Amino acid sequence: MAIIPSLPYTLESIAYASALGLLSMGLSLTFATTRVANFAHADFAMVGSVVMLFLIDRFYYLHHGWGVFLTGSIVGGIFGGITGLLTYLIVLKPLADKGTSSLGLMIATFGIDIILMNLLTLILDTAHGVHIPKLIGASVSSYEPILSLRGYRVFGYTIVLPIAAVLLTVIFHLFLTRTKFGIAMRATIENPDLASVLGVNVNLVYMVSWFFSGFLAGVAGALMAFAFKGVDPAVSALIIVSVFAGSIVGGLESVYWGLIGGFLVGLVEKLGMTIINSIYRQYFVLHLGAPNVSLLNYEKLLSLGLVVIVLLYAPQGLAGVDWGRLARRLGLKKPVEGGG
Amino acid sequence: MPGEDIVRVEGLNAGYGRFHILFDIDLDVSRGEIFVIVGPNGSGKSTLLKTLFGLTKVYSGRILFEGHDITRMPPHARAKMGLAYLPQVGNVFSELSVAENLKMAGYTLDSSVLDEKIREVLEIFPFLKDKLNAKAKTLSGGQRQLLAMAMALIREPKIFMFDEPTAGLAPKAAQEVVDRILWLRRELGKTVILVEQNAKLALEIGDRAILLVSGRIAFKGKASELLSDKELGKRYLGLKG
Repeated sequence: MAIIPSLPYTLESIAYASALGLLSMGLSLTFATTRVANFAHADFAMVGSVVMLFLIDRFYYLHHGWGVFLTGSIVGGIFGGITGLLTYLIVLKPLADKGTSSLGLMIATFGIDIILMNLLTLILDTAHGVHIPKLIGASVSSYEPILSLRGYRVFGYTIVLPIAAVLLTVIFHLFLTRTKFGIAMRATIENPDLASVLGVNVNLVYMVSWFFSGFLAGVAGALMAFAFKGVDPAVSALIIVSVFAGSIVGGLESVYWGLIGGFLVGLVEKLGMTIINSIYRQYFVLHLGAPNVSLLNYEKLLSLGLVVIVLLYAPQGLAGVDWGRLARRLGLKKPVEGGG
Repeated sequence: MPGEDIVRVEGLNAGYGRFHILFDIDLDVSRGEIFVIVGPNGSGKSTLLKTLFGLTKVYSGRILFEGHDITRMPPHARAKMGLAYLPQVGNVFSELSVAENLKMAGYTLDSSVLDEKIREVLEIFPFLKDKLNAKAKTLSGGQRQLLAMAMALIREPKIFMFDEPTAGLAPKAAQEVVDRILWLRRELGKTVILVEQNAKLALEIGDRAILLVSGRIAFKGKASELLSDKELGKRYLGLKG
C-alpha cells in the first residue's frame, strides 16, 4: 500500500477542502458582521445539497452533464442564501434587538440547526420520487461527468469545487474592494457605530452578509452532494465541527483567512489522515502487531488538533500572525535595516 | 449669523445607564467660535461631547441645535443636521485605505458630488494625495486626526466637536492639528467645540470656555480669563502660576 494518496483521492480531498474553505469563509463573515457563532451554518449547505438533488431528480432533462454543476450551484446557493437571510431576520435580529447577548444568539443557532435538520429530513422523506435510501447509493454521482486522467476515473465535482471556490473568492474580493456597498461592509465590520453615523444602513449590511454566507454554503453543499454520494441532513452535525475548526484556525473574524483555515483543515482531515492511516497500517499493524483498525474515521482528531496547535502559538489565528516578522525569523526575508 | 447661538444646553443631566456623570449643565455656543471644555481627568468632558452627539443617556434637560430640540435624536440624524463628532480614537477606519475612508465619509452623496468633494479636501490636505492607497492604520496619529477632519469636511458640517485631538501626538503633529482647527474657524467660519487635556493649549486658541469639575460647571466665561485665573488653573488644570 502506497503512503502517498492516489490522484483521484488527492483531488477529492482538495475538493472537500475547497468546500470547507467556502463554509468557513461564510461563517467568519457573519461572525465578523453580527458577532454570531452560527451552529446552523452547515444546514445552509444541506439546503444546497437537497436543492441539487431535487434538480437532478425532477429536471434531469435540463440538468445533466457539466451543466448540473452550474445550475445546481446557482439555485442551491440562492436557496442557501435565502435560508441564511431568513435565519437572521426571523430569529437572530429580533433577539439581538431585545438585547440578547452573543452567547444567547449562539444558543439560538443550535435550535435553528435542529429545526433545519429535521425540516430537510422531512422534505426528503415525504417528497415523491426522492428517498434517502436511494440517495445514499451512487445515484447522484451517476449524473455527473467522470473524466479519465492518467488512467484514473476522476469525478467531475473534484474539478469544479476548487474552481468554484477560487471564482467565488475573487468575485467576493472584487465586491468588497470595488463597490461602494462592499467598502461599507468592510467599514461596518470594523466600526459599526462610525459607519452608521456616516449614513450606512448597518442592518442592510448584516442582511447581505447573512445572504452571502448562506449562498456560499449553498454552493458548497450543492457540489458536496456528489462527494457524499447523496444527502443526509444529519451530516451537518459532523461538518460544522470542521467548519468551526477552519474559521478558528483562520482567526474567526477574517473572511479571507477563514477560507484558508477551512481549506487547511479539509486537507489535514483528508490527506493528513490518509497518510497517517497508511503509515499506521504498513508499519504498526504489519510489523508491530498493533490493532487492525482504520484511522480514517478519526479525522476530526487532526482538525481539532490543528485548532489547538494554532491557538497555542497564534491565539488570534492565522490572521493574527505577523507573517513578515516570521519570514524574517526563518531567514526567508531580509531583516529591516536600521531597526532598533 | 456669527455670534448667534448654534448650540444651547439647558439643565442637562446625563450619564451611562445608571451612572450619572453630568449634573445641571447650562451652556451656549456661539456660531463661529472655538468653545473649549477643560477639566481634570474624569470630570465628564468627553461625556459632555458624547451627550451633545447623542451617545449617552439623558436623564433630564435639553439640547438645542440651531433652535431645534435634538435631545432625543439618534447620532446619524444629528450628523445629517450638521454636527460632526471626532472621537479621540476610532474616528477613521484603520483597515480601509485613505481613499476608501474618504468615500465612506460621503457615503450618502452622489458619486459626482463625492468626487468633487474629495478633490476639494485633497487640496486642503495635500499630504493625503500620496497616501490614497495606504491603509489608514499606517498613518501617524496626527495624520489620522487630519484624515478624520478631512472626512468630516466632506460632509460639510456646521460644527466640529473634537475630543482630545492632540492626545498622544508629538508636539509638531499636535501643532499641525491645532493649526487646522484654527483654519476651520478662520477660513470656513466653522464652529468648534474642543475638549482638551492640554488645557493651556486649548485655552490659548479658544474664545470661550467652561471648566468641568466632577460633572458640574465650575467656571464659565472667556477662555483668556480662565487661563489667567491662577487659583482654578493650579487646582484643577495643573497650570503653573
